[in-house]
Amino acid sequence: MIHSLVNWIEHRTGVGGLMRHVLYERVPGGARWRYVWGSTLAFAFFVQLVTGVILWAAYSPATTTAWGSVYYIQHEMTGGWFLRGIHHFMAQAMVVLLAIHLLQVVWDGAYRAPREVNFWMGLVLMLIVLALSLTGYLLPWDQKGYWATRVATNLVGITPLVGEKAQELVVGGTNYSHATLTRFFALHAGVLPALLIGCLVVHLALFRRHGLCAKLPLKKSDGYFWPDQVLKDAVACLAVMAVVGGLSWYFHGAELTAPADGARQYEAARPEWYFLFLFQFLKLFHGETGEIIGAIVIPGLLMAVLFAMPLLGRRPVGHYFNLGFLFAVFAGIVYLTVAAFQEDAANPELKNAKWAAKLEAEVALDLAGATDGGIPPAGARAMMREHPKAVAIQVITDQCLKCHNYQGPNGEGYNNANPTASNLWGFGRQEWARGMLDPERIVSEDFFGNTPLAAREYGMVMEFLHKSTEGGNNLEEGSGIVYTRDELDKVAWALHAKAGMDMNEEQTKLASEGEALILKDGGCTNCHLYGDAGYLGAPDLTDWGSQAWVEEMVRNPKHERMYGYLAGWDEEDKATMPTFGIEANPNSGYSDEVIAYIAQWVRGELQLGQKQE
Amino acid sequence: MSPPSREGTDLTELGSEQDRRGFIKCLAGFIGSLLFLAPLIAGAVPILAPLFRRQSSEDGPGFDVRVAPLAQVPEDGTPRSFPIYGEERNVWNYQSNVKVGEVILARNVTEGGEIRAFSTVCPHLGCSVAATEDTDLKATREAEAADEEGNTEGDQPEKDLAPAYLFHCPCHNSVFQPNGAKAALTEGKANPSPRGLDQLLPPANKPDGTLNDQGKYTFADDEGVEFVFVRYQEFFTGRSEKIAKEL
Repeated sequence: MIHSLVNWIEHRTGVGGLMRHVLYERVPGGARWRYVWGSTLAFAFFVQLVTGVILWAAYSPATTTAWGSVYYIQHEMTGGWFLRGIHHFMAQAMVVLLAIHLLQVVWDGAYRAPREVNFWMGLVLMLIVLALSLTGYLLPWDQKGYWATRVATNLVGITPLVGEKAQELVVGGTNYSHATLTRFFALHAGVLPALLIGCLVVHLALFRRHGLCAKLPLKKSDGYFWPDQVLKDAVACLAVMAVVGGLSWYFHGAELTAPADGARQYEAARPEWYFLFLFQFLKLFHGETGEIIGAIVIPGLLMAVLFAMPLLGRRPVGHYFNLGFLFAVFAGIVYLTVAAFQEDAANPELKNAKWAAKLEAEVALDLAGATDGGIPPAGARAMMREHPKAVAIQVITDQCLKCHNYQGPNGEGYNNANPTASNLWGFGRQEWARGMLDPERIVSEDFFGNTPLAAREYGMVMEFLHKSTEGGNNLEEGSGIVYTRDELDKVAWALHAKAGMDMNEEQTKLASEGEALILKDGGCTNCHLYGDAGYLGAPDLTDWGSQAWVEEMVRNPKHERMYGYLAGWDEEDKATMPTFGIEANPNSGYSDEVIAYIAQWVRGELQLGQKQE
Repeated sequence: MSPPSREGTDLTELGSEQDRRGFIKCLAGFIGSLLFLAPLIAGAVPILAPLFRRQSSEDGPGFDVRVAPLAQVPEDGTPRSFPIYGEERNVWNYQSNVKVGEVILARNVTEGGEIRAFSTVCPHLGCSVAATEDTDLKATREAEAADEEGNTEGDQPEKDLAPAYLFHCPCHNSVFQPNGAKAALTEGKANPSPRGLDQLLPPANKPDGTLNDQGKYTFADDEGVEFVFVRYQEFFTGRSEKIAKEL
């Protein structure tokens, strides 16, 4: 029954004969592992085609919708993150496999007659794959892709004669818009894959016409593609798939940074790692001509030499030149890539920029995934510009951290190299308050060190603190010592409690002892207000560090409860923070909602719940 | 290609038959390739559409815009960036009063505190520049200050009070001086920018609509509050010449 059905199909279609033709390709010298690379590339492309089309079914190419649809794929759609991760990492795997394939073809001299045309076809395929990476990078319309693509398209613009027009055609106008995305998407999902399929068919047909370029000497008798080589190819493809699947699993899909905003700077802009060598290369050239040489002429010449390899390689010496050239280029690429990584690793500003970018991405994901909110129809950029939580994060990275530091004990957080205000890391907690009560640390850059307050208050606060601690824990009557070190620890616990920070029983006990110490005669309340005691000769400690206190401090630091006591001092403006509340600063202040989020962040309580599915 | 031969063809008719076949080949080839090109020709015009759209206002690319009260530009010369609000045409979407970019404003304290306005777009390849502390200059000044302390007698040189900063691009290390000029190359690194940081011009017209022929940046409103205005423009990157783009 089955046999007769097979016969029927074979008679009507001839498919069996075709399969035999495809599968029983002669493999000179038998199947070998070294022949698998071309197959892994074809397989990688097949994976990209399938995952790409499924992503397409969920993607929306407009500046108002692109980020949201990719957010949805990555964080809402069941299994979407894994699919996107595979597409993302397989794209990178393809670049690596391409490099291996190219090196091997040149090493084996497989570009020589009669295979020249197929070698050229391979180079065209390589360029198409690189163009696919470049166009795909923009599609999520996040800050990372947006700024990298701005650089890439501006490079198109410097091409002599046609550059300006070519850039306008690629971008779809003079500015980045919906048209940029629709065009990039048409290239990425339509034009380039179609070209790739066309070239791949020719590449494979020519490969079959010329036969496999066997590595001599042959070690075994000839074999067939099926099943020996197919098994080896399949194992290699399985390995590629496993690595890519593993990466996607490990990194939970692919990164999605904050929504693109051309009017918001992105200091962490970097291309994908396999283009880093070009990025680094561009730093070496300067001026208009230099740039054309670095970005167009030299890469163009390199490609020209690659295309000329079959002609150069006719003689043995030419083949050795080709090999030497290719290895020199690869060595150069590796060197530049390493140099780019090293330079970036040694760049504290980039570290800060990445930290800020991560915070912004987190708030974007938080808002997009909020159960009582989400991305408005106006788009993710509008959400980031208007939602108080997003605005608060931008105020923190753009303004707070221009003066404040936010650095943890192990160098984590944001490292402001020249802080002119306190280090906000751990604000409100006992350790922070205790640092403020340390005569050496209070004049360090973590607190008042780089402000005029250090000098002004030295005679008062510092002297007070010196007196408090010089005697260590030996509090002797008449020594002028107000608090012992242990007592200052307790005072700090009292402040920790006032700030409403978490504490255990033991710490609660210390805090209540500390509270009594605050009220001690000649102690804190000598200058600070604390409940009914003391007066406003210094900031009010009544509810120090609480949400309300921090909000008031951010809203109007010149308020009488805060640094109002400095009013009239000629260095008042330098010593106090700018006012951020809309009431105190109608021109560039922020609403109470924004201030509340900033205060939450200062207190380490800002919830940025990223959805994990 | 020659067709398969047919049996029984009259050899005397072969000549005219060949002519006829030749004509058919030409015609079929012509119509065939025309058909192949038809969708491409129809598609070429819309694809090239961005090149046909040109809308320049009378006074050239860009627009005049009120940036901020003068009081918000730091008096000590520290640069500060301000958002620019304007119209945004995004193909089929239109929005007015939307943030379209940023400008950096600074007072030139060494020359009478005049306003300087810069584009934040790096002229190299379009990343955004920001002011960063000029650590070298700061160190030099600190060293000078230390020298002065040890050597108080005699005339003291006039102190340069301008804040020590540079404009720095985080992408390819372009660096610009406070006046926008390209900063000198440092320790073997190239400064890749083809030109200095783009200075924004004063508005073409005063707020009352008359020509701003004195090139002023600041104008008072009805209540006497001084505001900074600029001509907001964006420029082509990667060229030594500063050419404004149509927005």
